[in-house]
Amino acid sequence: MSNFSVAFRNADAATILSVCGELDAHTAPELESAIKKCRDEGKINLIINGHDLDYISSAGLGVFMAFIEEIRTLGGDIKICALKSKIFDVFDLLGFPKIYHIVETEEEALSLFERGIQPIQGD
Amino acid sequence: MGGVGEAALMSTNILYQAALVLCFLCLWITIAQALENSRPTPAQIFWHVILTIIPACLLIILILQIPGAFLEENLPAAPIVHVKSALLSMVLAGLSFILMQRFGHLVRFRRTRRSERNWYLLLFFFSLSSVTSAPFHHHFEDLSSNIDATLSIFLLLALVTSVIFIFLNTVRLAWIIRLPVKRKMGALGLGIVSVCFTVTTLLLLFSPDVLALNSITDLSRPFEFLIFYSLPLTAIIVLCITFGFAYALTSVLSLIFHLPTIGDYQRSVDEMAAIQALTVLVREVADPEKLYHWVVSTPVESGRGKAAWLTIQDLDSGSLKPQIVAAHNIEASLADKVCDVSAIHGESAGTRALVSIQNTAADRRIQNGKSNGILSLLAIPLATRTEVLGTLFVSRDVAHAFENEDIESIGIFASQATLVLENARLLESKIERERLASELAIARGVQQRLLPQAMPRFATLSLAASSTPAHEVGGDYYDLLELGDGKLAFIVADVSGKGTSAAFYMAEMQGIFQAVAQIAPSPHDFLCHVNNALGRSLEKNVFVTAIYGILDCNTGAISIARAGHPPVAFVDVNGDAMLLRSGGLGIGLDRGDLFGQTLEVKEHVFNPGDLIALYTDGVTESRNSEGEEFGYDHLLQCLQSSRYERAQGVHDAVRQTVDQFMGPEKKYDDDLTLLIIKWHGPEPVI
Repeated sequence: MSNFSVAFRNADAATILSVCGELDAHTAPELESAIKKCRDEGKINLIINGHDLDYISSAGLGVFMAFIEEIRTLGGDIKICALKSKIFDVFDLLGFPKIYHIVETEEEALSLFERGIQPIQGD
Repeated sequence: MGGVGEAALMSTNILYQAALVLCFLCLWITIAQALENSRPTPAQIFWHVILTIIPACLLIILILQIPGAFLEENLPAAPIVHVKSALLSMVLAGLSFILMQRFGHLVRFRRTRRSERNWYLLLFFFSLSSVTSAPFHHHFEDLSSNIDATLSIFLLLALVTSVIFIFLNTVRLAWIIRLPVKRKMGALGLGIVSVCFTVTTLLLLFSPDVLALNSITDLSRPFEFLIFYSLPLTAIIVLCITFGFAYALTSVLSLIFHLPTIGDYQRSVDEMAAIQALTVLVREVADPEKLYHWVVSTPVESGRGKAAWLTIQDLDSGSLKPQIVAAHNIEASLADKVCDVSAIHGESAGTRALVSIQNTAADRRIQNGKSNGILSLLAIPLATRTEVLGTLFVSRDVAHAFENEDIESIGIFASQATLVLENARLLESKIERERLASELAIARGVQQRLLPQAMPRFATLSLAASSTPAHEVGGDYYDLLELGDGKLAFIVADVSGKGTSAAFYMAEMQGIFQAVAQIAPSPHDFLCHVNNALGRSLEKNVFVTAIYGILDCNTGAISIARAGHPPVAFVDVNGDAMLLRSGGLGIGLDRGDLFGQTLEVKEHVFNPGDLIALYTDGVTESRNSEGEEFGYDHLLQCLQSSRYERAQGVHDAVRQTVDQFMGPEKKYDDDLTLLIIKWHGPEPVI
């Protein structure tokens, strides 16, 4: 009874992962394997579109942390966009906006990649 | 002779016959008693009968050696003749009774009500024949001519019925089917011997002329003596011997007819025994290796297959490829090389049906089957109601070797083996579960002791706290530490994720708090130290959120910092409530300088009646049955309405409200921790 799904979409500058439903300890591995798949295919510019994300738990947040370092080392980034305000609040509480680009729209996120904006942290 | 004489003779006869019947009834009972105690196997019964017949015949011949014979008819016999007939009758009666008792056992082997009834009816009609023959005793031949007609009809009827029952009972040969091969052969030999022997004996007894023994002794027919002694007894003995002979004959014939099917029967008996052994095994052996070995060796040893192996798909091993866990009469590696185990396992498990490859040369999943002795192959899924435990492969070195009957039999065995394996697995997982449960109970105890066992007491403030893990152990932590000079350090932390791994980090957190708070009590230093210390050990996808603060118990000055944690709820004495949301990253999010740069420390001085609530997201994210979250507003409202209580009262009010909100099911999704600090001021408010 998984109420979570990930859909892939390729844009010019990045691969967009649209997440839908509830991202918790049970569904986190799905997003994990989705990001892993992108990484293995060499797609390192990733946008997580959270427009349809209804809930995120700490385990869900952990997925972003698990890959960010590696993706950035490879020269890519994970950017997050279109979060509902309630979900954004969870990201914000933890300080994610200090580490990730979290923007309003997918276009904004794409343009960040297109313009070659560096990830927030230089390391 | 007159009527009186006749009547007297008649009554003497009746008395004589009655006494005789009584004597021989005693003999019958004695033999029955003697034989009742020994319960030999059917084959042994045959031996016993032979061993009885030989000495009995010798004895008869010996008795016949005694001089003395019948004279002319109607002349009184010499006393020695009486003795001789009595002795002969005893021996013959004894022999026939033993024969009846022994064969009675065989006839009633695996008895049913009907066979039991037929046997007793046989005995009854034997007795009836005997009784109805009484009036024909030779002493009265001339006297009883008038009753001859009706009585002889009775006698005839009784005899005919006896013969019918002899026939009915001789077809009761259930014991033969049950005999093991060796015993069957033995019994056959014995049967032939005994039939030959009986025939010879009868010829010897009835027609001594044939063997020309006449010249040596006066071998008159022993039955002449018997008839002379008692006609009813003769009747019963003749019937018994007839039955014995008939039964031996049918047994021998039946044994001969059974010979061709002995092998098949033996095989199914062996299979049944093997299955039974397997069931016994599961009770004693919990070792899966041994069970697997039995599962593969049984079809081979019962002759259904030439080689067998078992594949199990163990998802825990991380491989999707089914592994050969046991093989019999073939090397596991060879079986793996010759046939595409994965493909066949996949088919049998997918369809949950048997895969039968009658000619492996024509199946691309098998390579070089011919040179490796695998020409027919069966793959039987060991399927329970819910899953497929594995696949049993049975092969033969001839193509088209598996008949329907073999397939059926192996199928039955496979379902039995499935049960056995499943039982073993259930047993194992139960043991494992119990072990885990007891270890978790220990862990829970340990974790509870990591939390403060009692709240420190102060005149100026009151404290209350609790922590409830969603599972046995959790990742929530709260603690308080008196630092001396009236300062109190406090912390509420939440390790991401739940359960065992979170519990380990929680324990680490406790160690760090107790040590670091003493050295670097200021919130900024403390949390930076924690980030450095934990950052090294945390997994990449795990983080910890925390709120740490220092309270001066003399002045009410509080200094507090938030590392990614839900904000502190602050309520003042006027009922103004707010969330103190200072900046700060979760611990473990950044392992560089960013953590320290973004961390913001808030300073405040409590007024009497002010209170703060530190909590984990288990409180605000508690959901009711409709899936709604408890939320910050609800929490603030609750704090406002209970703000006049001491810390314990406020704490209890919040916990109760949360419990009520969650409804009667009250299933905690997340660890839930709450710490209330209420400032009463230097002069305590009562």
